[in-house]
Amino acid sequence: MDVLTCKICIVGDFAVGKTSTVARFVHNVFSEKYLTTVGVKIDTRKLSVDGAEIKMIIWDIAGTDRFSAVEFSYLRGASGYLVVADGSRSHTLDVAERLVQEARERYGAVPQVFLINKFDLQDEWEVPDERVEQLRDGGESVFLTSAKSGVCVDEAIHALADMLVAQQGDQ
Amino acid sequence: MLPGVVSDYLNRLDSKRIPPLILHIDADCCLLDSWGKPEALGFPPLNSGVDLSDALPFLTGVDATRSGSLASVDPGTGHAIDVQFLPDAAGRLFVVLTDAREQHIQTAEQQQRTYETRLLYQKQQKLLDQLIATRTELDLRRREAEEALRVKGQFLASVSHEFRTPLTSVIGYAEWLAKAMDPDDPARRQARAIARAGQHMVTLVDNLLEQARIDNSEATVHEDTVDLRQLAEDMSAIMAPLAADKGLAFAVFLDPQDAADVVLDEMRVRQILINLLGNAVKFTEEGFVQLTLAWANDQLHVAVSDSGPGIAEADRARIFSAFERLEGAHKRAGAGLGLHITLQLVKLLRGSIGLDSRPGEGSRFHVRLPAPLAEIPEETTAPAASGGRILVAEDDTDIVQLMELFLGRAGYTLDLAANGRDAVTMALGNPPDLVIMDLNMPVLDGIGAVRELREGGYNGPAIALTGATLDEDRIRAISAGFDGFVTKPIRMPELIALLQDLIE
Repeated sequence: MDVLTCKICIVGDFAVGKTSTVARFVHNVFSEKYLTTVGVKIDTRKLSVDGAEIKMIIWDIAGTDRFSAVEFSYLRGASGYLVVADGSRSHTLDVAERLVQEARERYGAVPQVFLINKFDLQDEWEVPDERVEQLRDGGESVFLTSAKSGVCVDEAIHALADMLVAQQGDQ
Repeated sequence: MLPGVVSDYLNRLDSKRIPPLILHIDADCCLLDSWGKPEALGFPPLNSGVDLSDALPFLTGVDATRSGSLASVDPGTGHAIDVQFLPDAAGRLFVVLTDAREQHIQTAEQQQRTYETRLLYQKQQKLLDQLIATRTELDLRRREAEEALRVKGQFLASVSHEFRTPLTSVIGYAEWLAKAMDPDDPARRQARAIARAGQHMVTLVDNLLEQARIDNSEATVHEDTVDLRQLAEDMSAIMAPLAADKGLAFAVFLDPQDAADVVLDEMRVRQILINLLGNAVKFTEEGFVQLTLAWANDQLHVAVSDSGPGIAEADRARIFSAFERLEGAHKRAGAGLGLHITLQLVKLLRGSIGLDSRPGEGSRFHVRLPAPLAEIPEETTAPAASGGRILVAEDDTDIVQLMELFLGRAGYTLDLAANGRDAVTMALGNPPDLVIMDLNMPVLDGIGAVRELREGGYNGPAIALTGATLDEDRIRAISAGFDGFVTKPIRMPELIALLQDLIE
């Protein structure tokens, strides 16, 4: 069986939980300790989607609120984006939307999924439901995730995998 | 043999670095040739002909025709490398991998500090925003509470006013009847009971009003000359029937040597005593309630004792809080305001209050209040007939008739007006010796009327009559031109004493 190999970039502001999301998805682990990512860290996981094998090479890009030349070099050739924001810091959702816009302007549109992370921090949650609905109304796939508890992490990344497989089928 | 493009690149590299790993790969990521040691950069041995896409995942999707670089890449080995893609003129792709650990670690340390600081700042900012929002909310709530208190105060003042006018008639006529009756007539006691009950209602209204004043921090002390013997008699008259209804023995003790005239805020002292005695009667099911008054060293000593259930030590502080009532068998109906108001009043009068009590052994509240001896003991009973013409402006006919009874007997002639406008016309046309005016009258109220009187040249004394008891009402009346202020229900002996002073 042919394996569909896809480069996926996970982007977002610093400390929104990108590395934790990848760790949960690839290794099913979580650490409370915040460790910043420098440059890019690459992990791989294979998935089966509707009988198709997909190998996701996930590029965990250091958090930023604006892409520089270095980050743009990581994005080149990406098949899809996991766009992460921190639900307890609502401005990180603004950053996430801006990063997607910058990437789209540079390399064109690719499938993307929004993960509004830290859903376990209900007491500190800042992103209003209306904002989430607004994104969904705009056609975005949005998941309220928790890398800590694992809530919706797999679902979000599987949703992106579905899009990639469907896109491959269309081609 | 390395192509020139690779050699040139290697010549520009920092010589201190670990020797680079150079790979020649084809378009499918298969290794064609290599130079250097993969293990030094954290890779397994790499053999020619193998697919590198698993070991070097960053090669996936690379455009073999264009040069480019990737800085600080961790390909899953935990070993950071810099990657340089170098296609040569012949269409071959070379990849140069160099060690980037040192730079990676330095950047990580610096970036970690920076981001942790920014996170702390953002959290601090969020807390500050929450603090500001909370403070704004609290300010709003405080303003709402203050407004509610103000409205409550106005409401209570209004209720007090509405009660006081009819109570003037109830108490006044009951006292008049009692005096007019034969001393042996049993109905005389009943008339006095009506007067006492009316007076008790005045106290209840005063309690409510006092709480409003305390809530608004508006409570002020009004010092009077208090006859302690009269005070003891009044307390007995008010409380003994209530105690008798429950089958309790009731006694008031005042050593004749202590029966002095002292300076005290009489209304507040009465409230304190009525609250303490009322509680004692309410919570005592059998036995006794007693009041002991003593005066020594310019202090009034009050003790209210009962044979009630007593109060546990743990509850003693709580009983003085507003709306606190003890749970359990001794719980009774009521607002739970009595002891709270009592404590506030004792503080207002610069006194102290204490409690001796044990469960099952009754309670003894003891209060000390500063009470210097009055310099000139005043005779507060109605003076002998004095005479003089008084204009009474009052729209309540019951009160007018009551004044006719008492003031007529005291030797005064009354001119009567039913509103402020008539009062002004009459007083300026034929000036009386003194004017008594209700503040709340139709057509023209007392404040407006006294202003017109003063503007019209009337220089005689003027007394304001009102159900309102707030200090601001007194100030408003005096500012408008009144010389004195009498609060309903009117105590006729005091009114007559005031008339005498002012007319003289």
